[in-house]
Amino acid sequence: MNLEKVEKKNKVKLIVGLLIFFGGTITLKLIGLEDLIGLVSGFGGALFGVSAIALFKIKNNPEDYKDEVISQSDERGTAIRGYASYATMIAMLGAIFILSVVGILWANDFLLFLGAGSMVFVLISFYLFAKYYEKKL
Amino acid sequence: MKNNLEQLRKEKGINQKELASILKVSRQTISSLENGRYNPSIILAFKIAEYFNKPIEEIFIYEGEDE
Repeated sequence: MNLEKVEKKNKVKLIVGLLIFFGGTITLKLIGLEDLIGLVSGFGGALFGVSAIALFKIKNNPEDYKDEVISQSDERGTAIRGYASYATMIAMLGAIFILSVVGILWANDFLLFLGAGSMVFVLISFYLFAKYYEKKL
Repeated sequence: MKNNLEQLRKEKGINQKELASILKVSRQTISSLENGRYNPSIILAFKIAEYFNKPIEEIFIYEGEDE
């Protein structure tokens, strides 16, 4: 991805962030959903902040930012993230298993339900993602 | 898999950062390739071969399964 494309994308994100921040706040106030203002304005503000920082970096040090963009799409980096994600999934399954064992030992229905439910959710997600990538690759 | 990347790069008189920038990968990827820790994708292998104007098998030497 070239730098001009990244800059354009960040400008769009900046405007969308501002629109969500102000538009969302005003709209939610008008329709009486004031509890959600913090969530929506926080999301808009974060989007605005992240894109503003990216645009600032592009303006001030384009070469460094180019390196940052390259490192995000770098194939070795992608492979590293893939291996790390897989290892994380195995670690997460281990943690869920421990949670279930603790639930059994303490005879705690909530922990047991949470552990077993999470394990089923993770395994179903894994199966569905595997099917999805089977069609893509 | 062995490769002659370091030797070819030095013959060209460019450093790892410059080669990384040409191939649009990180400097660490070039370093890992040269050390034989990482095997490139077929696309990156073709890019490297195209840049050095050599056939892939002259740059990357397959020595059988090592994993």
